[in-house]
Amino acid sequence: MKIQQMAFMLVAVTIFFVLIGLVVLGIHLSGLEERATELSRKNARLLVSNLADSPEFSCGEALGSSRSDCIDMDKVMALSSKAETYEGLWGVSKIEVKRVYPERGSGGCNQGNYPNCNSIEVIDRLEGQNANFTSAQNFVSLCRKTSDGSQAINKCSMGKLLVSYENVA
Amino acid sequence: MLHKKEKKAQEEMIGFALIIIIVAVILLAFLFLSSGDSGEENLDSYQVNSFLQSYLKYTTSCKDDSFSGNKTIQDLILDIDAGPGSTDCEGQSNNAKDVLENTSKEILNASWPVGPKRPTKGYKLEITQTSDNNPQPLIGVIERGMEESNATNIRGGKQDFSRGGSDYDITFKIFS
Repeated sequence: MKIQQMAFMLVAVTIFFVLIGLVVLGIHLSGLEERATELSRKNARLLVSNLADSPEFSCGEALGSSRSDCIDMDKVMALSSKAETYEGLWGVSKIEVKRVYPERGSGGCNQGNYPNCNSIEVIDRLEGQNANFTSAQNFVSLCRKTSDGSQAINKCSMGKLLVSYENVA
Repeated sequence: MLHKKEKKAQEEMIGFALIIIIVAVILLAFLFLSSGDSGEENLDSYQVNSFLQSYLKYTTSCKDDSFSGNKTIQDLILDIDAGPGSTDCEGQSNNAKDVLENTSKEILNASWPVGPKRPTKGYKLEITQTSDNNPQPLIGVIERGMEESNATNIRGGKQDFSRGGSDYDITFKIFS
């Protein structure tokens, strides 16, 4: 009789813990997609706040003393033509550099209209896809060397760096 | 005998209830910890600081005689002390103060679109010069959307630099 009672108790406790485990697992799994998206958002923000200072983008010493949040437009333009080489480097779906002020012309930059254009798409794996994505942006100086007729001068405009991640479906 | 059995069953039920209470407390603690959040607002403030950095390095149309190139916003701030006529700006007033004010307004309008349905409800930019512990505004406060803004979230950034015994502070706040 005692063994029976004990066995009944053990079964009851086991079923109870299994039920609790199922509830916890349910709660955990229901937020998984949301958390993956949130993680993508955080990654995008972290990347966008540091990307301008990476060697592939930064002005370095080429435009006077080294400074943060400064992007060398000529460098980015060259980088965009070799996008397939760099596609996997940052692990993102899209990187775009946009001029905010002053706006020049309209549309994207190519070898024909540069520098009288407003945006350079460095990487775009979202193009043509109906993908759900997360973006983050940051302000940057868009600088390049130009000429005033007699000598080379530095010219910086206001811009934004945009990074996008494809969401987990 | 029957009384003894009932007592035993009672003890078991109390034990079972105790297990349920302990598990419920652990479950609640787990839920509380997993829903705790993440400081999203702090992550966003980098935008304001980056904006100020880029704003100060923006190249204006004013010629810089001492250096090949044009003056930046930071150079114009330093020029204001020199008074009217101190700068040579293509197609604009030759008063550094006017050029600084107009260019700043245009940059802010383009960078932070303000509106009730936009993420940014308003902004405020102040540039002050402090000499002998006496802070003075260099240009009028540039603000937009402040009157009708019921914003609860304020993000801000500050940049400062010094020259010739004066400290220059640029304070920027975003209301969202």
